[in-house]
Amino acid sequence: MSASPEPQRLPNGLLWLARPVPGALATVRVVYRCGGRDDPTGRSGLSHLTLRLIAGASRYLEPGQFHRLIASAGGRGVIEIDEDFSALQTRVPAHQLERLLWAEAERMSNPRIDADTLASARQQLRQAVQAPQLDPYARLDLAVERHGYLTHPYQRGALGDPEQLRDLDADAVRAFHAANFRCDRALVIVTGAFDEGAVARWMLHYFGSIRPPMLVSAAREGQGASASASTSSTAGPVAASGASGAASPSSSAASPSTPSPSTTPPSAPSPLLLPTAQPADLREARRPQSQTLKLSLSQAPLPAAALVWQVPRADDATTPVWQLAQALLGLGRSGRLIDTLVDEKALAHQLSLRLLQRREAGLLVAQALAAHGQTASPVAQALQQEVLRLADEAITDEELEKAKAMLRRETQAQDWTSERLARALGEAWAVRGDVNAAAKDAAVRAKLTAAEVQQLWRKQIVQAPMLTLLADIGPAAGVAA
Amino acid sequence: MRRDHGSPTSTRVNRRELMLGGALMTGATALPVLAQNGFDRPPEAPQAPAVPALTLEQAKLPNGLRVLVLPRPGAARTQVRLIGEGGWLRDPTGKEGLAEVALSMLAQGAKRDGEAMESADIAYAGDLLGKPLALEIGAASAEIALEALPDQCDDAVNLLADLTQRPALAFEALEHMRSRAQDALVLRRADAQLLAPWAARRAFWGRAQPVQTAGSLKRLKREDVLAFHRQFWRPERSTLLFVGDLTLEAAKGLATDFMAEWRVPKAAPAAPGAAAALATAVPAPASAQFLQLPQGQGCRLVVQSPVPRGTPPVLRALARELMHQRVAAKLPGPWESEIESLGGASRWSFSVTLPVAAVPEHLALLREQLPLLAAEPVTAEDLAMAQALALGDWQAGLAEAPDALIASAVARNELDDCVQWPQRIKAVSAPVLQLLMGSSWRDNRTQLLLLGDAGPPEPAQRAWPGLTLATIRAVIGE
Repeated sequence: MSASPEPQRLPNGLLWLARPVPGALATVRVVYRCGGRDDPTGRSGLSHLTLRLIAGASRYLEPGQFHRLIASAGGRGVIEIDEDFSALQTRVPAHQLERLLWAEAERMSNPRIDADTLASARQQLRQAVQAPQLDPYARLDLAVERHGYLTHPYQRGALGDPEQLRDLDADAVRAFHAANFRCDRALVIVTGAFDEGAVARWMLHYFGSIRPPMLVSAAREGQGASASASTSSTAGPVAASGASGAASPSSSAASPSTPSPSTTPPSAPSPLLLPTAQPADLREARRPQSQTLKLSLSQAPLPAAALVWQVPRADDATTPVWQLAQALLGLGRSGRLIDTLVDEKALAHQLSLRLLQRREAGLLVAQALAAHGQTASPVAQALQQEVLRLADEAITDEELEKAKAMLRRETQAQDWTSERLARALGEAWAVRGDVNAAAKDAAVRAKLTAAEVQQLWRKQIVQAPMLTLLADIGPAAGVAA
Repeated sequence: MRRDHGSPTSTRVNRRELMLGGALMTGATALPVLAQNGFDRPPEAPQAPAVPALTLEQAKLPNGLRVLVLPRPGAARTQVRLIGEGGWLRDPTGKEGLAEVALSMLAQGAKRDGEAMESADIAYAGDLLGKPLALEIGAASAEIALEALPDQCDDAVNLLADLTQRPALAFEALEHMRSRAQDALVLRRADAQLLAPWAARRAFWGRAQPVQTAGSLKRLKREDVLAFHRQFWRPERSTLLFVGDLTLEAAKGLATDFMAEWRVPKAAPAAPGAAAALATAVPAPASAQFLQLPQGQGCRLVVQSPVPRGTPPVLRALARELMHQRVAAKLPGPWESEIESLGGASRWSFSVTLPVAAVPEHLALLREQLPLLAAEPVTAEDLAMAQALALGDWQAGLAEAPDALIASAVARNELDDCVQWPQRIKAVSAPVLQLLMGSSWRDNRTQLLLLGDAGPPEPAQRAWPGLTLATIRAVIGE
């Protein structure tokens, strides 16, 4: 079976994708389309907490055992929580891939959610929330999210608020897990050095046997949702295969050497499945007018400023144009912002231009750390001036080609290691809805002209309202936002 | 708990079944209806394939420049890196920060064919190759890194030659870079995460460890920069590294085209600096300091212990991997660990960021557990796990940034170890590893450093007796 450019769907609704990368390593990334945006109101961080529980322990993996299994194989794993998705990514030497797939299927199907694991996950979450706060500019980053978005849940961020999860019990987390971390809302990505046929067999064997949500519901109803009854049935040969046998994964699971595993394209999900419960799209309100907020950063030694514009969602047709504009202004040592504000005017010492396009809304954030002796306001003015200048000041062919070359290299570099490729594919699927988005963007960018960039800039940036965040220190500091 | 490390399949089945039974009785097992059948243990792992040593080719130009090539057939791009010896350990006493400022000034102006290149031109030339020019300073090296398509390697080497052989090193650039370095210093002192490694080094090596201050930066003169450049950017003290789809002959040809004429008049020998002092410095004895940062949020905790001078790199790596696993199993958290070698005794550290409320508990546990964990016997499974991790990290480093991995080995004079890493890992025995582990993390050798906000000092002092409040002046010297 050759690697497909599109994800394949198992009969239980789970999508999977394998892409070879030369070398000695293999990576598995499990992505759930559930992130900070899906946290219920008043329970910010619930997705994060659930992800930590999935990573923590399962029926056959005691707390810490997954980690030891991977460590003894010479591997490393991370978990990632984002506004749009949650992901578990693990890299191992390639010959350990089958063991890793077993372990990931085990974590996906049987997470242990009880009072003990919940307490442990809560503690980890609290620590994860704390870590970024050591940064003296953490409040500015927080303000960009909180005030950059007007109504969308993206404004809460993804890490969450430990206080909102303090009184949560295991039942509530189980319910949230069952509704949102379903196998038919997940994608398993396998990258690295492997035999494609073997990976297809392993996927069907280890992941194909996970029960789809409808069957779970049916089993619950049929068995009166009795924990002891259903668990005890797993000791015998009947339970898991009973209902899913008709859908084929169970029979394949019994014959792991099946040469041609049956998978179906994503367009034809099994009729046994419930329709995938994708959350409704949330719309972000348009910013009515420009606004300036002042922050007081008690820890920060130098003033800082951030300018925030609303930009379209990640799957918008104009995304490649935004990427090219961002590269012209902020990528590399010769991006226009650095060239002018850092090297020429020496107003700022650190500077970034971030294009944060998410599944349902996006932001363009220009942020600068003022040089010693400056205040935030003139830095913000210079930053704004330079950003707006892109609309009118000529972009030479050479400058355009330089920006395209840097973006080409970024796209190319995603394929160099199994870890980078898995991460890039996972994000493209969860945020863009298309694992091949990066290649398609690159093809569009190659044909873009300076005029197209400037036209977009005039319409979407020059004429658009903007949020200004001024973070001064000492006497210049204003009222905290 | 740790005894489970090496036996994930053979001894756990019964235990898991028993635990499952126990859970059933208490009704604690979650999501039982999702449970799979017949997947209670991982499949056996196939035999690990033998990992060959690296094929690293090298040559030397008549002027002494060393050329290294790590061939990567089929690689889409080539990494090119020039490695010099002017790391921050070479900072002259009283002029700490010189190495960093001198390196950053290279990208501020140079000459090509007699024409001046401004900083914008240099930045543009690097970006045009696809990836921005990177200037990296380490303890023992100063490096300039570029990346290019195979047919643009000449542009990359040409740019490296311009920056190192014909830099402007102008007074205005010094002022600009000095100002940036001073701001970076201010930022570092306000950020516990950035400050921690410097404070920890100072606590470990004492005054032998160079730390830049506003005063030392202010003292830098253009003559210092020129002398430093002449002293350390010399062909016989530099290495040109290529990683990509090219042969040694091709690499040597590029080096010859642009660097064969690189000649530098003999410079006066540098005054003995920190490098010499650190090679003989005796690590400070056990201590515990709490550096409160104004209105900090959370706390950075560092514990450190010496590793004897001359300990081979593979042995250091295996000890670190194993101890890291043990610490993380006993005190779960995002621990970071490193063993830093600057010539003499190495500094072995663990660090983590903690919420204020968690500090006393972590301190008490660490104090009790560190010597116990280090003294635990090293089993065959322990050794195998540490070897697997050290090999996996080496392979991942080669995949992610092979030029950085090799450059780091060149800078530490450990290139042979890097090239032979898989074989040298295998050569380490459990008793040797045990010996190193057992000699570390003893009460009388372990240092503690807290930076940031750890709440009122009393609970932390009860958890770690002897913890004293320190000032930034006492720790950093300014």
